[in-house]
Amino acid sequence: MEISKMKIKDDFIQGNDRIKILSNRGKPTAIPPEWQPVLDSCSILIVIPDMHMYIHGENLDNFSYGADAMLHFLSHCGKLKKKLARNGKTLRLYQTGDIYELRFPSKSPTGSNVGPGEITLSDSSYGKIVNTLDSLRTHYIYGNHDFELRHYLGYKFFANEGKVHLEHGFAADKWSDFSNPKAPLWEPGQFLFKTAREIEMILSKLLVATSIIQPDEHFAIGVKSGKTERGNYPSPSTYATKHPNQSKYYEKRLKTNKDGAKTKICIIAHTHQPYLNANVDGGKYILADAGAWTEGRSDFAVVTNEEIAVCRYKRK
Amino acid sequence: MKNLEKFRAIAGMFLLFIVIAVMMQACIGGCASKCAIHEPDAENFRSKVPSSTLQASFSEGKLVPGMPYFVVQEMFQECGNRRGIPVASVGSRQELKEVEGWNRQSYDPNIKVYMDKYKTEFGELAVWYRFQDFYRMEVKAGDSFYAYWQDSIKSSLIDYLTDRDNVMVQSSLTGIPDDAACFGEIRHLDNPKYNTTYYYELTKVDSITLYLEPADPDYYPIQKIEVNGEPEEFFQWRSAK
Repeated sequence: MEISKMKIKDDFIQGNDRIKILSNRGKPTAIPPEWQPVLDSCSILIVIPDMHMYIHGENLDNFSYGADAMLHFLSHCGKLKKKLARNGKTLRLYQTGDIYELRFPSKSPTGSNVGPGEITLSDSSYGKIVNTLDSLRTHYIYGNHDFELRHYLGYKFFANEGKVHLEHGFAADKWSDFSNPKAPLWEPGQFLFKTAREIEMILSKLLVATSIIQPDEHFAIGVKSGKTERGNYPSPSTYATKHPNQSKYYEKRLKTNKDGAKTKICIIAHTHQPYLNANVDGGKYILADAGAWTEGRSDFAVVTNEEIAVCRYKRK
Repeated sequence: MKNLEKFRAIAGMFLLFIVIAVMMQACIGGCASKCAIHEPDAENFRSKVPSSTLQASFSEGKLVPGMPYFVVQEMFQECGNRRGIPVASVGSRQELKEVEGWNRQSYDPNIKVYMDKYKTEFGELAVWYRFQDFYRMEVKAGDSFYAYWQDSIKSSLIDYLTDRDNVMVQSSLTGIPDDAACFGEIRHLDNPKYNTTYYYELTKVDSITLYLEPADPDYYPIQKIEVNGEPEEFFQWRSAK
């Protein structure tokens, strides 16, 4: 069987100077020849991480700062997808969870949490982004912030693309993190969390009324504002200390073949820290974190049969 | 006697309380402030909606199915009503909502049919609008297709769909350059649900291929209108100019 050979710079980036490789000092990481092919039904795999879209214009919304970059990125992927399709090749997109911030309150008087429709209709760019993702036949994995989507067609807990395992990453968290829907006390934790955000919404209205913050300025305690673009690649050595749950849990899963004997690469998100470790268990596996497309970041991961990289799409 | 008088006083107060509560409920239902209707931007409409049928309706002050949702947004721009209520189908008033856990709700993002309701001086207006593609709108071979580009209209017949957002027509749409953005109108040959459907963001890929760009929700076409709970062909927001 002929293996589809693709290079990230030549075949994906194709001179788009808004795409920068973050991992491996700006160079794609080679996939060992003995692993290839790692993809069995597509030629290029793109992984879009956490977006946390909320109602546009609300102080709790942090995605709006990166929305324009997302539209441009999807346009790049769309053109490439069509070009590859003419040659019988497939570019496949995954959005690996937390596309929406459903843990925040709805603006309707139901007292409940917000829904996807309320978010996508809040601004034409948000609707356009979601409709573009759909038109590109994006596969969706649900996260802890959009856990309710698990009921619906097209949303999965995990996916295996050949030898690549994709998951959001919340499964590693303990009950005390209050970010694992499958751990105890998640329900009461989310109820309190939403209540806290409701109080925050009232507080933000006061801050806007007194001109301390702008009407559409991000304000959410404990969340970095996306107003400042963040394109740094934190040192990989910090990942294990900052996110020990994910580091230990997913490395262990790779080593014990929990996701199938052929799995060689695991890509998660959830932590909002881009990361790539090609040296798991002495180089037998690769663990990557696609980062985030919120809090000022605009990261994503790209995999071909020959290479893998965590990248960012620069804002204009 | 004293006890009887006490009882009458308490019963009277209770009755008064019930009457006030009922009147308040009726008032909340009927006396809630009506939405002021603003005149939509005519120039914007003319530039974005080239269909002569829809333009004629606009000049007559009629909101009709097929018009883009931004017309409704402009008309009710100051109304604080809840918008974009997700419903299962066009015409359904039941909010599509699942509830689980501690008051956590969810909606299926695959279903993109929405309803707005407005109290107006002409009655309660309900408007349904939705995401459209050729598959959802049951476009079929043989339907008449009209492509509007600048001041020209080119017509053909639908040949087949290659994807839900990609359609081939039977005869070449000469005169419209490739990659041009067009407005499309399809008059259905044999469709029990729609006579005519409109497509706001088409791109002419080549002489016989058209691609429907991912929709901006401001351009979701209005599907249905009801006034005071009854289906209407239009909502008259002002007398004809």
